[in-house]
Amino acid sequence: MKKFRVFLTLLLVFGLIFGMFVGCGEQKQEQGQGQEQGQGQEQSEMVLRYNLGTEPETLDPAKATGVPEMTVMLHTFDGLTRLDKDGKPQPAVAESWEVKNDGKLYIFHLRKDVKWSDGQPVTAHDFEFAWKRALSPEIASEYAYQLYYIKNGEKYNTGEITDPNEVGVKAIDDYTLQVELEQPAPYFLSLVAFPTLYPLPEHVLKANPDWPKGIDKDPNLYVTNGPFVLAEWSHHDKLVLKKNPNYFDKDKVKLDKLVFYMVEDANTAVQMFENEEVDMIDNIPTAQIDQWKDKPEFHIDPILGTYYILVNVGSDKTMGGEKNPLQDVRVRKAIAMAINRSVITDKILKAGQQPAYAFVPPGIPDAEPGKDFRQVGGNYFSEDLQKAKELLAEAGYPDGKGFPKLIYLYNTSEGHKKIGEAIQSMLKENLGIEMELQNQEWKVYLQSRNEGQFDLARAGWLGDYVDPMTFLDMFVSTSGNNDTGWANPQYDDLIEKAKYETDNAKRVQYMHEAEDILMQDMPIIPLYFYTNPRLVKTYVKNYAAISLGWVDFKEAYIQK
Amino acid sequence: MGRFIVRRLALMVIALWVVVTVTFFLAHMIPGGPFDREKPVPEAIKKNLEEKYHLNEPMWKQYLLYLNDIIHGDLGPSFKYPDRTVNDIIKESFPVSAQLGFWAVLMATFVGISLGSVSALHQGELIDSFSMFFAILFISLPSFVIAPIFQYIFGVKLHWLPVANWGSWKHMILPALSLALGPTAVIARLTRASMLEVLSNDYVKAARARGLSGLRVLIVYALKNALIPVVTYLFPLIAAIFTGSFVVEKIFNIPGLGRYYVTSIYNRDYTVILGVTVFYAAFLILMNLLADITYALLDPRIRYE
Repeated sequence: MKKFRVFLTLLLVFGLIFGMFVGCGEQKQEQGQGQEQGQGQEQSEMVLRYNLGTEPETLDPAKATGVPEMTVMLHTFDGLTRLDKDGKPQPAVAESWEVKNDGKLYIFHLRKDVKWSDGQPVTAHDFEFAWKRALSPEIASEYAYQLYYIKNGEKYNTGEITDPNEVGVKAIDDYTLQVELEQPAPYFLSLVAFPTLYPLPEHVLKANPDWPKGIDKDPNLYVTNGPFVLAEWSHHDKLVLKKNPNYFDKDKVKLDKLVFYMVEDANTAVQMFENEEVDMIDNIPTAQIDQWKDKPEFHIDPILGTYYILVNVGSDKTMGGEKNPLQDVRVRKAIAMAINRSVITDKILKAGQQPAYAFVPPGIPDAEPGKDFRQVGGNYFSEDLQKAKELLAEAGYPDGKGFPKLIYLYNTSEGHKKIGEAIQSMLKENLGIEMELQNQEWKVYLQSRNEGQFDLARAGWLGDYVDPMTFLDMFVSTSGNNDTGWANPQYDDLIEKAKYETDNAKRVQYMHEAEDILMQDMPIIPLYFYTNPRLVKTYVKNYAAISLGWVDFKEAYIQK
Repeated sequence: MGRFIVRRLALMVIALWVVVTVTFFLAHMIPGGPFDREKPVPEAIKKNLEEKYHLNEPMWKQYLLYLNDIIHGDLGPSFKYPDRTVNDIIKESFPVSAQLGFWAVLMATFVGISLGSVSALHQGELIDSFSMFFAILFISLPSFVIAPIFQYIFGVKLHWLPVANWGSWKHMILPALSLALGPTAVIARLTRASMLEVLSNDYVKAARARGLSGLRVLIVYALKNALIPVVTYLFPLIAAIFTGSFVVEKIFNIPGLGRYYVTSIYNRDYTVILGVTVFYAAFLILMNLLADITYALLDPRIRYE
């Protein structure tokens, strides 16, 4: 019996220790209860619940790199401009601007009524401070290159110059910001809407050099100037924003609260949507699309992106050690023409994706207003099985005879696997080409691509800003993004010319010519243009789906 | 017993050192680093990042720097979440996993032991067959199959419980249940087998013969001894539930430590990998120690010197 008592005591002690943890949990529950309630529970407070899909890595505008981070900051900050639902920059903190010196000098005139959430005025000094901070080597910002357009931006970031005052951004006075550029960038007004170029409250950062560390414990420390402010951040759980009473444009903001969930499991997100626990989700699992396709909740929002196959043009040998047939442009063209893209878009993806016969997606304006770059550029090739077979034969592999086996690399995912399998069977059936699928974990896959350890690899590219340049400058021979090993001096030259050209019509023409070359040589085989399917409750109105992948709820509201 | 415990604790320190070392070098051997992204970072910026996190120093130097920090209790900053430290991450998410684990273990223990005892007492009857059938079923079904079914039935269809997330007692039920079902089944079967063995012993028959009531026999004589194998399973089970909660945490979106355990590897977040691994290793070793102590206390035949 004594032993039994000892055992009981141990159990009790154990229970007490865990009870402590339970106790800690209880307190949190009290706080959690009130905020969880969805619509209608909080006495006519308008709340929108959106699934961000993952935990934001950071809420520091200088360090953020992904869509989840930028989505949150889009709602807590305002830059010099703000993108509207068509992706066009509209005045925000800057009420007007002047463009001089053939597009190399910008003078922004700031509004005088923009305040930080702690009541302090937002001045041009806050912009100068933030941009120099983002460029400083100590911060080690991954998106610092967005500021390389600014004079001496790159040099300061790489340490070539050490005096930040030599960087071409200067607050002439409290409400005038002068920016000198290295080269004219016609999309600069869109760039200043990008989070890396948001202003930061200099007075707060000087007092808290580790900012934004600690904002999860004290949300008031996250002093911002946008339509919403941070109310709560519970890691891997949810983030709550509430309306900013000091926002200059607050009459346009109708929502009282925004709740961002971080549910990573796509199936759970759909279940939550069905159970009225969330109002909007992205990332619908393809297996579920069929049952939602015809419902009013199913929205297909635009996104600038292209899904394509990377071809290893630089290697003389395939992964299997044989002579690399992909170095012959006829082989690449044959493969491009022998893939039936509608099988992929209509049978596998089913969310309105468009087959792609060029690289730059639709949704980017051309030189003439009202025209679209892709429309003007047109299609560069079509699916033509006959022609494909002829090209393959010309290259020395009639009906695929003697063609070495190719490795198709993709990062582990059901979706990419299905697409790979479709391509594998099409190439075998149509051209007699054998392709082996190889999947790797994401980072290993990135490394393999970088090191040329593949024959064909799946890839996707989403635009950083609304201009063809974000797609085209990827394939200059010196770009770190160019994993193909393809180098064409004419292409490099055209891109360089386009970057320095001040006449927009000429600039767009150069870019069309560059795309001509890219599609003639075909070091990449475009497959389809992305769409962004979402499930949205019918009572959610007026959200802006920005084609860079973000969603803007500034002017959204709930109408039940 | 005292000396035994001290010796085990000393061994624990050595074991943890081995864990840190092996994990450190294994983690750094996997291709890919924390800052590899689809849009590759320009060289100069990569250099800035590597300098900041000492990734450009020779491996042995990084190892010693890390060892120095860990001895002082500093597990370092996270690479993926630069504004959070690993200490903070563990401090905030472990209690969540502990809560979830506690309820799962509690459920599994009480239901399992009861079910197992009842089955043993009514061996061969319908209730026994039924219980054991369900036990096999739940041992075989993985949690990522059970969890979505629960979400669908109790959430989407019946609207009784929320489908995911954390924050109120309602949110705890489905995940704890999903986590507890497998262990419940194991404990039930273990209890039943052990109980059957004990019930066939002479001293139990003797107690019955002397006229003691069934319940008294069960609790005072049989259960105590039958539970010995169960108790020794319990402690490693606790460790397993805490470390294996990743799947349930992901499906129900629970901010626990289990997720960091797996996602840190995907992210190549070296400090989080090391911090969480060392933490769990320490926890596991402690649980095993507790199991041995309890075993000694319960079974007079066991003696440690």
